[in-house]
Amino acid sequence: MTLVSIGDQIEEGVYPFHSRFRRAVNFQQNDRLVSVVDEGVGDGPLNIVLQGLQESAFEQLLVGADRRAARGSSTRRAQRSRPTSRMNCAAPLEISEGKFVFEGRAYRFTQEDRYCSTLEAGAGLSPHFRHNLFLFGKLLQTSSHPKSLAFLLNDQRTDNFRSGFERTFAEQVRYGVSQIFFGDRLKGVRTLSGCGLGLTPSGDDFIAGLLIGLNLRGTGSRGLANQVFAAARSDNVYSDTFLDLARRGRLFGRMKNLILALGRESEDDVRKCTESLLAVGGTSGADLGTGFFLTLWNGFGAS
Amino acid sequence: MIVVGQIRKGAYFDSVTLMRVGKELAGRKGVADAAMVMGTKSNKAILNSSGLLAARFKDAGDTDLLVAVKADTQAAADAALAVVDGLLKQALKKTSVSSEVHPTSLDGALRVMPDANLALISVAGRYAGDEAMRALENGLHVMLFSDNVPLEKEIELKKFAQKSGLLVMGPDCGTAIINGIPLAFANVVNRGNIGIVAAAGTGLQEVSCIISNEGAGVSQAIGTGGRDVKKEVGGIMFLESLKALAKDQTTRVILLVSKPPHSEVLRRITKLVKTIRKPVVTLFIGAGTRGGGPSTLEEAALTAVAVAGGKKPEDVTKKLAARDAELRQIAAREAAKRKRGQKYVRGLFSGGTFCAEAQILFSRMISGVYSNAPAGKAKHLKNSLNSQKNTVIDLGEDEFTVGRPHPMIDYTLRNRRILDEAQDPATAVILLDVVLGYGSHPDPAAELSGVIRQARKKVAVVCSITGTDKDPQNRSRVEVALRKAGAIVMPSNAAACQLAGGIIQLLGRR
Repeated sequence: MTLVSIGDQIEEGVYPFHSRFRRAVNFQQNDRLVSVVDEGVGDGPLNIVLQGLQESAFEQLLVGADRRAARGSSTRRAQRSRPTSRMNCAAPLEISEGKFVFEGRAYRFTQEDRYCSTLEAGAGLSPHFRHNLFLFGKLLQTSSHPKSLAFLLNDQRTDNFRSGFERTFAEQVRYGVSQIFFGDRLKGVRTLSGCGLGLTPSGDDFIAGLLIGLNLRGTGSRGLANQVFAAARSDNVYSDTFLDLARRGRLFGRMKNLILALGRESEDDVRKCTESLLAVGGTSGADLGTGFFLTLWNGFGAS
Repeated sequence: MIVVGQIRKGAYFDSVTLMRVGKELAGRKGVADAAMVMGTKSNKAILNSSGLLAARFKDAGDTDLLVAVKADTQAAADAALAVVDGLLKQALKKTSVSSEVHPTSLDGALRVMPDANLALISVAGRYAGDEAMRALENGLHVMLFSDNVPLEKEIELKKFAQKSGLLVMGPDCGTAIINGIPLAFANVVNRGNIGIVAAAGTGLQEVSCIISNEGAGVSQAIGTGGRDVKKEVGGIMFLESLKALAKDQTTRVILLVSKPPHSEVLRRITKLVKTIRKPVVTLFIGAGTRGGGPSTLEEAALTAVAVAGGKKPEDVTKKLAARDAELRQIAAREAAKRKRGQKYVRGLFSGGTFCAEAQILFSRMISGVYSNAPAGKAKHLKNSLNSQKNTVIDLGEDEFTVGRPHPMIDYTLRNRRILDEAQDPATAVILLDVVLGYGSHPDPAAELSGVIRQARKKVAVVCSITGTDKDPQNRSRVEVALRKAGAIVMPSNAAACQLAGGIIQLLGRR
């Protein structure tokens, strides 16, 4: 396995094992997840990207760890909630200056290997941005997973939510989003927080998109972004890590590429970067994209 | 109603897995609704509102997975909970294929499968050429599914492959069958002794399916990409594929299918064909048949089958002439049902070759044919969204596929158009192709039946099905469902076009 990149938010330390998925091994320290991922997942502020990770790796993984266990607690309760024995065998990720040790093998890195997760000042100010943002909104409606939050952009897509649970979910999301944009903002955020299926519930992905949008607006929106983040926090370490990065304008590679493409002239680039974003998770990329789109399109948080 | 729940501590699954398992649970006998979600406060509120909140969920935390089932009886609820583990395992297999490795680079793929001799490349066009060259340099044949590969790159790749004794199928090659393995959009056909070279994707699918449905079989079916037979590329791979089939011991008859090649390329193909000691059946769609050869995909396929079976091509001509008489009877019956003012055909195709073949056949039967992808005598349609007189639309063209799946996968756009066309008082016939096989929609009958049933009240719906009973969708099953919905199902695109054109001819004589 060879190193492709290491995120710019990864600090030195010993990170205990947290969970393992098909394309990622997660380690946790102080409510922060650092992930060793394959190239398919790609660059991120807290990602270490290794080429060949997937081929080298592991069996199917089913479950992750309870965060209490992952914190290294020695309580009985924590011990009980540790994941399977195979996972307990995973060694911690050790990161020191210019070097990290993953699964017993040392990898060296330099500053050049660091993935830069921020945008340069002025990104999003291009005259093409509004036009491309419109195109992005259209692509969300036509190309995203049927059960993503893109139904907020196109009523007809609500028909994809058929079971009793799904219909109630869609109603709650619609209510939360209407509160965010037209009512009590933080009440709306609290309504959306933790709402939906999966590792990072759809509502959290939407809020992350909203935070990225706010951050793109500039320093004037930082206060609001902090309030949104505080309202959205939960015990879900995946979501919390993701939301915190979004609040601070730290972007994973696919999102950064999309924002850069929105500022360029080429519609083709926007399409490709949108496809790439929509491939994230089951609905995660689309949910995040919907939050991002609505925030910028509605001028949310603009002074 | 009984509501039961399970809490799974610290269990994480992706949303697609949870959706899939939730749906499976909800579909079980005696189960009214089910959901699998993380135990966040918001999710508990949703479960409560939808009548799925089990009492025990109040103790669950954000990182716990909740399984909720609402059922008619306790037994049904318990039975549903008992299968959750199995369903999760199955769903995970579907989403991540646990036993398979998913390399993310060509090098990675070669490490996993060092004996591989073909790479199928489907990445953005601008990168596809370089990936294809890397594959060739590693001694692999290439199927290049990607489009938008620059012409210069295609020429470079094909010249390199030619020198190296390798094949490059594509760019924009959507289908091939190599050593019996269907690649990309392809069908499950019998293996046999007919080798196919095609620069026409759905054309290859149609001839291979007809060959198989006639009881014969295919040795190899090689796609070259439509641009290969243009002047610039010079038919490099068409010629190399032809040579390969000429040498192939399993292949006894060779079938060539393409839109008309450039004259220089045609000259080279003709010269090479003369040196081959196996029977070669050719169809250059719309190029005319001066030598009396086949004029449709169906005729070409049947001719290859006849020749491979030791019969004469004339037998095929007789068989099709008899079928034409039957089609005229059906046309008369359908024309009689149409009201005054209904006089046009509206062809809505997912396959580009079918769209071209329809135009060629219509040009011999009716006038005033318009298309967004004109072929033969058809005129260019000004606005692809608005039909004009007799209109034939290729819904696979870029204007319809940018930002949405191909119409063979997603029927939404075509279904809407079918209903719109049926509302037009001038429409008499709606003509459709239904393409089965790998890559295509898994259940086209379910997608089309309702729409056909509605459209059938006002117009005749004529369709062809390209596929076999071995395809995942099963041709016979699809045919029964479409007939039940009211469609007139023809055995080939050519037959469907003959029938549709015949109805319009008769209506024009009123």
